[in-house]
Amino acid sequence: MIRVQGLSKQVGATRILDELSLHVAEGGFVALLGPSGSGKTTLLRVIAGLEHADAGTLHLAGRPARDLPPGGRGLGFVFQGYALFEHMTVARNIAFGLHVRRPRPPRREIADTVERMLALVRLPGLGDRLPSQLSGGQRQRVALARTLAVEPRILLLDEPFGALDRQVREELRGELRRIHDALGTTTLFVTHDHEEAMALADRALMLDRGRLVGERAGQGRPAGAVVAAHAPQDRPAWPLSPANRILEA
Amino acid sequence: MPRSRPGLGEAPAWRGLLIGAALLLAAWLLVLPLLVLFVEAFSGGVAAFTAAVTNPDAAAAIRLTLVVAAIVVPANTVFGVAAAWCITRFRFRGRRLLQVLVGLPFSVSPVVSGLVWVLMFGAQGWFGPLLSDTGLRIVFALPGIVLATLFVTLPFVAGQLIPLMGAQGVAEEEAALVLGATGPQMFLRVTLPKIRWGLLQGVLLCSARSMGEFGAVSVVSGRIRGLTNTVPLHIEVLYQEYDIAAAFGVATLLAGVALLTIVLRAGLDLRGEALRVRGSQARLAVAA
Ligand SMILES: Nc1ncnc2c1ncn2[C@@H]1O[C@H](COP(=O)(O)OP(=O)(O)O)[C@@H](O)[C@H]1O
Ligand SMILES: [Mg+2]
Repeated sequence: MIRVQGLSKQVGATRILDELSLHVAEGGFVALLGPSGSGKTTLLRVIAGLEHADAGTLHLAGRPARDLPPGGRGLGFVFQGYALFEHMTVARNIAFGLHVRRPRPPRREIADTVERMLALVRLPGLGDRLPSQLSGGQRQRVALARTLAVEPRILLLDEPFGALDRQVREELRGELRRIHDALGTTTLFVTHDHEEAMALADRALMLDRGRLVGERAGQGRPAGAVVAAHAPQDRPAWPLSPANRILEA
Repeated sequence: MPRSRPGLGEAPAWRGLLIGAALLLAAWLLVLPLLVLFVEAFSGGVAAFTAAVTNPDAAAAIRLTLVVAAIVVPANTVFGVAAAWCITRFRFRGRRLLQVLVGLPFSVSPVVSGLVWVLMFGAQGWFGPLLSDTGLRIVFALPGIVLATLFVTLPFVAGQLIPLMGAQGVAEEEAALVLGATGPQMFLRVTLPKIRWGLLQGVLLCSARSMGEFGAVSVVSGRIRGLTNTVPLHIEVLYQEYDIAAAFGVATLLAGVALLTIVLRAGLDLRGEALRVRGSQARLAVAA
């Protein structure tokens, strides 16, 4: 579903992505781990079309995606700081992707979708609030609902729970996995929390200085055929690099 | 409670003195002249005032000023938004230079701002011969006045927007793009609502200045009565001719524009404040 091959990006003298290759199968739930500055956000932004790589190929759902605009890639992006539209109500936020669609879906259909999304992320009745009137966890749920309202086949999340306290975080983790399983999306999510990655994902990839340095099966789903079939044979099961220590810490 | 800055917030006598002095200065420098203006304008009675404002030359000056503003304000609004967009959204060679150039008119004397157009398009100017062939007049005509005013009022909109858009960042715009918005949809639905109060402030300042500019316009206008005199120039002419009451009468129009600008800007500030307060109150309510 997401196939990245030989992706490289350089800014000035720094290699941000260094011949990076990875594959996330349809319906897969993959976590991206790695120290700060290892290129996780950049990788997601290249996949989403918000940045361009200098070299390498990107295929989404089997099609080359390099020249598609961000909105034409069939994917959703949950940003690290949520990036909610602060001047719109929660309902308008969630409806945004439908409002800009041409032809625009009928009013009733949009309203129904908003209600469904609010129920999905367990925020019923909060449609009239402004984002500034929500708690951190609620904002995160709105960001997720807004992204899911356009029915993306691929979901990219950049440290979605990073700013939340432990309790909210654990609650939302479970819900992300539940939603992923219910909708059958292909999910790639960045986290710096090793435990979170292992608990949630089918597979966790380790990034260091723009390179994939290892991967390991997670407990998100019993290690099934899907996972095994796509684990490349030529990589160590888990990092042998200095990044190892960060994970074990 | 620990006092972090001893001395501040103490000594009521000093505080009273400072506040009193500031208020007195403001009254003397700002309110008193305005009062004098209105008293003088109506010193000859309402009829004299009406006559001064409706005099054909005055009416022509008002018309010209409005035409200039109607051209300059939209043009500089579009330019300001575009410049602020480029400076805050793209990294390119010459970005810093563009930023400096946008602010340049503020540091150039208005006389110079007018003179450059004469040097370029005047009869003896660089493009003078070329223009005399085509018969198009720029200096001592409407185009020159518009150019000079454009130049002088260039920084207002961009100056309001650059810090605002820089601070707001691009996250919401990127979110809109990933959700499928086209460029124009993103601009109209996300960017514009986020910058609208700052934009309005810039437009107000730009309008006030475009109607009130004296120096640059006086150089390029040629001061042909009833033709190339704007309101500020017409006031100067009346004053030179010792028609003090009429000069003050027309001047009240500009003072009116200034007062209206102040009131509208204060309204915008209050509104911005109210939105902030509402936001933080709501946050408190959530936290409680
Ligand atoms: N536009 C940019 N210009 C220069 N350096 C950048 C830019 N974007 C990212 N970087 C650098 O690239 C590296 C990877 O950044 P990022 O992808 O945000 O890492 P992560 O999300 O893993 O913390 C960092 O060293 C960062 O400073
Ligand atoms: Mg990051």
